[in-house]
Parts: sequence; structure tokens; C-alpha cells
Amino acid sequence: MDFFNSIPTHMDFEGQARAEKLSRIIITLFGAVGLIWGYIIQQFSQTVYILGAGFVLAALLTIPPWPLYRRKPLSWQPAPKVTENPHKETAKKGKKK
Amino acid sequence: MDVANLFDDVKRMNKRQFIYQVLSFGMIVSSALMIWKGLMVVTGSESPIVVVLSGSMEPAFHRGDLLFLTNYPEEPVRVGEIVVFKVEGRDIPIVHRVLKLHEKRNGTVKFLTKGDNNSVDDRGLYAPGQLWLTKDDVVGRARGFLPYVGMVTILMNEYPKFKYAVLACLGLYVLVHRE
Amino acid sequence: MHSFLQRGNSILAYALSVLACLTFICFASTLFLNYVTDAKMNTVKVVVKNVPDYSASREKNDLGFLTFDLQTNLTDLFNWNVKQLFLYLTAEYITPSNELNQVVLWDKIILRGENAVLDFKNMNTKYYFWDDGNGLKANKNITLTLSYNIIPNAGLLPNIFASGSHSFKFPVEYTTTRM
Repeated sequence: MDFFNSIPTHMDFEGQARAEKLSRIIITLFGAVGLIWGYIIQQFSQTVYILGAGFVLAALLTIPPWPLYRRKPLSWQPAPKVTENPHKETAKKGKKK
Repeated sequence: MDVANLFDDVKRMNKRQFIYQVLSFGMIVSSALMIWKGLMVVTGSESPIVVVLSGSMEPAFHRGDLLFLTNYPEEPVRVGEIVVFKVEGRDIPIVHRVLKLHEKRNGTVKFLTKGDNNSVDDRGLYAPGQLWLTKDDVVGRARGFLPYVGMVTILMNEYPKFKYAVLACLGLYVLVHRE
Repeated sequence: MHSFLQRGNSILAYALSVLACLTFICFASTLFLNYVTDAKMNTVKVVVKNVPDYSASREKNDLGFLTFDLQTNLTDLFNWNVKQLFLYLTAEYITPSNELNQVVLWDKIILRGENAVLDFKNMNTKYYFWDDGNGLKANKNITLTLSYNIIPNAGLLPNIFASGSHSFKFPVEYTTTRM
């Protein structure tokens, strides 16, 4: 658990919204293109492969917390005690819903 | 999903919420049962959905494919149809194709089956001394096909621990998770 | 969407529902297609013997031998929701003891992409043409039909008769010589 907690997995709220929207758009788009292409060449397997490619792309782009999704961190109230690493503190707080 | 979070949720629940969760869990189980029993009535088959467990019908059906069955008594069995039948002394129903069929004037039917991927007919698979199948042996006729979906059940049957783990996780999730 | 796992879970769930939706579209787009084609068939040599059937009752049953010609083009049947055709040639006839007899004499699996233009001359049957009794000798009306069972990627499993059949009669005497 400590190992997993040390990886930054946090996105800010706007980043989460963007990630979700982006993943939906990518998968839907690949699905639609795959459907049309599969219909043209009459091979449903191609449709499935194209959708699979869309899934991989969406996973790569939106699962890892790329800096893109961390541009607007919440400005937390300063903690009563001064800690050495303020950034880590915000990340932890953010994880609780 | 964080494990600690899970138990936080439980701690924050009061009695009423807990009962609500238990009820909704019961709701899921009972509606699944209702759908299954309802399908049994609609299709007339005692097992309307089966998972293909062997490769004897390859390349049409592979292990883990899902078949939808119907078994209407007024619909006659004909050659070339894929029937699912039970043989005495075997727990698992067999999915094979009808190869020969003889129907008497009084309506009694006897037929012989064969798997597409087998080189001989099924007399060797039937109960000792049994030469033909009759309507009573039939569980259903294959009407619809969906590939791969039954793979989960095969995994669960081959690794019972996996099955219990999945069931336990799902049950816990439904009981504990708050909307 | 706040954690790594939740994002993965939501993307996977969404991709799977899109896949289910696409599969349904594929199924629906081929649901009302007409799969009937022409087939020409003919029998070349027809004899009947009376020999013990050791695979079944051990009694002397009629055993027909025939060779046939078959011509058909099934290329048009393959669309994006047809994985395989199971082609079978059925002999259908009436005997005094049975109102309906169906015996599959020959079958063939044609996968998508394989040659579907068939032109067979003087083919032997793949399965023995055993009657259930002695109803083949001098039987005046045996009908040969070609049918195919369509195995889709996902969907229904229709059995379709090709248009075109051939009727023939068995000789009035048993053949005793070896062939």
C-alpha cells in the first residue's frame, strides 16, 4: 500500500472532468470509425480491433495523472503546523472524497 | 477503491442505512433469479443459456461461447439443428448437431447426433446400450450465439477459489458501498 | 475519476458497453437479410444393399450407396456477421414404418475467406445411408436437399434450405456384389 500511495495518482477536479470527457470522446470516435470501416470491408473483427486501439489510447491518455490534469490544484488553507513538504500534504488530503 | 475507505463507509452507516443495503442486495439476487426463471418459462427450456464447454463443435463454437436455447414442444427437431442434450450418467449437457432422424406416425422421434469436430457419431457418448436420443433427452435447441462471454464462468468453474473471491468481493461491495 | 483504479474501471466499462453496442448494431444489420441461394444437385449412381448394421441394432437394414454431383455458389452469403457456414446434404423420404426420415449424407464446413464456389462431380457420401429398417429398396421418392446452418459472429443460428432439390428412386433389387 505504501508503494502505491507514493505514486502520484491525484488529478485536480477540472483535470478529472477533462480526463473523463476525453476518454469518452476517444472511445466513441474509435468505435464509430471502426463500425463504418468494418461495414465497408465487411469484417467485424476490424471494428473490434479499432475499438481496442481506441481503448488503449484512451487508457494511455487519461489514466495516468499527466501534468495536463494537474494545472489547477485546490488552494488549501495553510495547515496549522508548518510541514516540510506542503505538496505531499495536499495530495493526501485530496484523496479523501 | 481503498480498503480503509470501505470500512469508513460502514462506520458512518446507521442501522436504517445498513438494512437498506441488505435489502438492495437481496433485490439484486432475487431479480437475477426472476430473470432466469422467466427465461425458462419463455423459452420452454430448463436451461435457456448454456456455455460451450468443449471443442467438439469447433470451428463454430469454441469453449466459453454462449448459446441461447429454446425448447418449444410444437417445434419439431430436424436434421442439421444444434441440440443440447443430457445423457444418463453425465452431469454436463452436450451440444451437438443432429445427423439422422426417424419420426414414426404417432409422433415419436428418435435421432442421432454428431459433433462437427468429431469424426464419428455420438453413439459412443450415449449411455451403454442407447442407440438413439428422443425428445426427452433434449434440453434445448441452439437459437442464438454470443462469443467469449461465457469465458468468465469457465474460469470460475476451473478455479473455484477465484469464484468465491469474486462472489465475496461483489457481495461485500454491494453491502458496504454507499451511493 | 479520482483514483487510478477508478479511471481504469470507468474506461474499461465504457469501452465494453461501446463494444456491446457495436455488436448489437452488427447483429441488427444482418437480421433481415435473405440467405437463400440456388443449388443444383444430381445423383449419379444409386444402389441399395441389405446388410447387418453393426453400429446399431445388428439386424439387417437397408444401406443405400450413392454418388452425387453438386453445384452451388455461396460467396454472396458471407457478410460481416457470418463466421462460418455448415453445409449439409440431406436425404428425406417416407417408409411404411416411419412418417419422416432424414439422413445427412454429406457435410462441409466453409469458414469465412475459404472458397465457397462448389462444383463436385461424382462425390461419395461422407456418412452411411442406413435406413431404420428395410425401407430403401424400391423406394420411389427420395429427396435430396442442400441446407446450411449460418454461424454468426453474434446473433441467430438459422438453418436455411437452398432452393433446388433432386428426387430419385432406389432400384427394386438388392445389390449383392461388392462395389
